[in-house]
Amino acid sequence: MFEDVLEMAREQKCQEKHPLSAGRFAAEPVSTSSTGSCLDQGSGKSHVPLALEEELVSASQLEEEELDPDLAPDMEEEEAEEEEENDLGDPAVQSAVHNSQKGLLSSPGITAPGVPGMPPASLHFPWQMSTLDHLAPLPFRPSLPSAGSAARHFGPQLPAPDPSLLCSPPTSWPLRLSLPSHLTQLHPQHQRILKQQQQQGRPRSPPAKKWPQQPDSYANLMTQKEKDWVVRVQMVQLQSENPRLDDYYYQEYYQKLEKKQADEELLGQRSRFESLKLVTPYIQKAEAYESVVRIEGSLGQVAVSTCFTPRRAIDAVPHGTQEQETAAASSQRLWVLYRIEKMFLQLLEIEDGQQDAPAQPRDSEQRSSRVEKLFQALKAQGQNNLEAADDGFLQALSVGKGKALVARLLPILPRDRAVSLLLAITRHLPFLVKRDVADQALQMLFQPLSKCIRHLTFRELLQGLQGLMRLPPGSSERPITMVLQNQFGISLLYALLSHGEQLVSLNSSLKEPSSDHSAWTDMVVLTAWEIAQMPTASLAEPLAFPSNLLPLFCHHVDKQLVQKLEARMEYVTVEIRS
Amino acid sequence: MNYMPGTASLIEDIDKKHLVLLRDGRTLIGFLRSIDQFANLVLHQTVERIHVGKKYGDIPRGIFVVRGENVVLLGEIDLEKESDTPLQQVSIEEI
Repeated sequence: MFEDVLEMAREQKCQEKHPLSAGRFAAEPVSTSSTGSCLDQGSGKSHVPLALEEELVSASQLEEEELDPDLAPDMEEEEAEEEEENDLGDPAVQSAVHNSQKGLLSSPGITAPGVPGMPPASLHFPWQMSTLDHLAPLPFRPSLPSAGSAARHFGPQLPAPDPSLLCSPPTSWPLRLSLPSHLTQLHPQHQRILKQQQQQGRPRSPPAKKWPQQPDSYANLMTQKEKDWVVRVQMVQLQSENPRLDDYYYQEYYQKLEKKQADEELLGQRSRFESLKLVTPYIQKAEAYESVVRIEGSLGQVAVSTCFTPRRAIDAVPHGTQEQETAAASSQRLWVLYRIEKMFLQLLEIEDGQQDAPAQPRDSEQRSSRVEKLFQALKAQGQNNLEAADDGFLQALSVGKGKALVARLLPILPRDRAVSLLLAITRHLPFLVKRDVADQALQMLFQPLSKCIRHLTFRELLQGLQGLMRLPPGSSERPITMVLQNQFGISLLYALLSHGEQLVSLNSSLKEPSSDHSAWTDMVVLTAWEIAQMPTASLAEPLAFPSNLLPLFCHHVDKQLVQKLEARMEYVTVEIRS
Repeated sequence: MNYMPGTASLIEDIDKKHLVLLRDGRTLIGFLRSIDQFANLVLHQTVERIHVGKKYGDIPRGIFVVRGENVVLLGEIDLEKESDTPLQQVSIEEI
């Protein structure tokens, strides 16, 4: 029977519509002979995968239709379509196959025998499995099941994939495969093996979710190799020189986790186990190629073509850095923002250094020089050198980010530097308050400033406060009035006063009449008067209300005034307490 | 099997039913069959679901290959809870 077909095939080779199928016929002798002997039940299996793969490759080359996903369950009913268009276009082959098919089906359960020409229907499903598990990603993967679609012309088949036929056990099959009724057509050995795998699978699979009724015959379209490949590519993308910088949050989280585990281990609460950490594979990065080739003395670039830049037109080559523009308002602002960014980088460096290697003498020197550099940068003159001394600092403070910068910087500054900043702030408090109306970000400065205030000497304190009391030329309002209306301003003021009171009470020498002391007294009285003047509604609520303020006022001021003050402040303190 | 601890990956989502929301507003529901490093998706037995008020209609679409950049979000569908919605399915003509 097979020999007849071969002869016919060779005759018709020239007239073949599909040259590739000629190739298939040429391949025939090999497969036929190997499978020709395999018509009996048991021995056929070992030969099958080879034959299958050969025919498989040729099948994939030929077929290019897309698979209809509903095909698999429907394949059983295809007998009627045998007579329809044959993809081979060869009626001789068709009839040959038809005959062979009849011969095949007489012995059910045989999956092996090779058939010249079209692969028999019964073979299609093991192909699916073999491709999926053995071969690397095929470009013509979708054509595979369509080989089955062509095969469906040839009668009923056993649709379900048969894992026991293959060498390597599929991984997720035991979880997914239930034994549907049409599988009972299988060889009893197949059935047994399938059932075994199923039973092994079940206790392993999680009890919660049971897979729905139909087995997913499209599962594992993506092989393990492919998955590993994707993961590998993703890992490569993740690698970095400086993980603490690039992946800060994960590193912190992992550190905390490890610390917690170490603590728990110490406490004996749980046995040591490693929690997984993401470790990216270290892969040598490709050397940076020289994208722009310049020859000395030439005009412009030489046209260099590489695999990355096949055709590189004349590029815009940056001619050094942009020079600073003339002092327009927007460029001024940009300049300030630029300064702030640079200072932030310096600050972050200092903070990092602090965290990683604390208390090393050499490093601390380096660190303090860095801090000083940063301080100078902060105080730096604006673009126009005729501006006032504090202007650079004030400009930085006008921006929200600048305030954050100063707030972070203050704790690490040496005392005298911090004090100078504090005094600068106090001096220009009204200006800052005015500028802050939009942001309301001055609050973040309060904490570090209050810490700094505690280090103030009496003189310095007086210096700071006096600025607020002076009547500016051309205005009847003292700066303090505006300060009292702003939350940050009033909090700062209270903090200063409280500190002053503390100093005075601690240091009895200050109580002696002296210019300092009288200045202090004047200050207190004036402040009290101003507070009393203000309507309660416009008095801002301080962030922190020091307890020694009222007594302070009591010392220096008459009863009437104290009552007024109490009324205002109590309102405030009640608010805070509640 | 966790390939990459501390990361989010679509590898474990393969062969599971997903709901994918695209940038053009379409909602696709299908089995996620394949991915790549750009999160391009291959969806199988895909259905486009159109919601109108409390009703929805499904249009079967087949196989979809979605370019990763067009995905807004995607999430696994719990097959058991899938039928537990207050929404009512109607025919597509009605929608």
